[in-house]
Amino acid sequence: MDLDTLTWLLEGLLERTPGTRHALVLSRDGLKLCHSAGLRADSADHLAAIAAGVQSLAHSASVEFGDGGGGVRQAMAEFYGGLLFIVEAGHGAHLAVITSAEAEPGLVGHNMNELVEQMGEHLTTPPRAVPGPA
Amino acid sequence: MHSTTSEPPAPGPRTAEAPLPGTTEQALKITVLGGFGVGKTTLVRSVSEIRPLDTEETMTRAGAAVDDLEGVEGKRATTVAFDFGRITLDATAVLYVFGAPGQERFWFLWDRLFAGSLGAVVLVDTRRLEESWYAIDRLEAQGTPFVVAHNDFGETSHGLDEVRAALDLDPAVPLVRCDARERDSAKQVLISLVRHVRSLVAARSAR
Repeated sequence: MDLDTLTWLLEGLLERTPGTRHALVLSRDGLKLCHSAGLRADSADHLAAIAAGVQSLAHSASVEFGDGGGGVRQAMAEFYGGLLFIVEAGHGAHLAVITSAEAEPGLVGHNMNELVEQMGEHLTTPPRAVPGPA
Repeated sequence: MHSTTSEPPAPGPRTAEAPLPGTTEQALKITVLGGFGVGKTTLVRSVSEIRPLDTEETMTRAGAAVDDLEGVEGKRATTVAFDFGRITLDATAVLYVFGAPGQERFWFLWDRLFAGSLGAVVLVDTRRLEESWYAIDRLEAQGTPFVVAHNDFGETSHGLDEVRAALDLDPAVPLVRCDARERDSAKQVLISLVRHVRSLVAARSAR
């Protein structure tokens, strides 16, 4: 899957999920891979770094207080004016979504996980091994 | 004076079970700074008596154009939030060590890490000196006491005078050598910072 397709999928997530503003896929070491059109490049860089840090700390919390499975299902922050959701998206990547304060967290989480399932296999495929469209 | 009611923990394998003595009254915080790949996480790991919190993530292909590995080609993971460790100094004092992430994209985290800290350690690696300039500039600008530790991984290749000149470091700022992998060596760095802070306080109150 190329970046255009990924970006198109992110836009689709925003369209069908009320209250969502931005969506971004980032590498686990804090770099943006692709994002929705409304997110400025500088903000995308910043969000990628933030989301990597939050996910890493959430992982530490799961190691210390979780059931030993070691996984993070979702990290969430609620701030004045909006919410931030982060889920794992395939190997070595995360999906971050920013919403307005009015968004429905259950629906946002559900739609994000649905999208991750769609993207998952593609994100784990090394870019150079991807053959042309079938 | 307090009598010592508990021994500082012996070096050795560490777990989360290194309980703080109930007599602890004073918590001191130190921040470890420096550029990407100079050994900050290693230093916090070396000195901590508890299992350190680290937030290292595997470096991905996405960073190939951004995170320059020249000189540290063996590096595989990088800190994306912060490191955290703890050392009990004596029955009443405990030192909390926070290691900052090095890359520019995480610098926004530094202000929070500085809050309430006694002082800072700037780690430098002579293979990548320029990585640490930002940390030194920033500490000088905000007036935070700090020492510079040259992490030489046990190989003495440069004299400290050379390192001082290359960094254009204020003569009043202590510069020490260390091997961040060695607990005692890392500990000496923290001690040099505490001494430096103490002498600054003494000089101020003598005025």
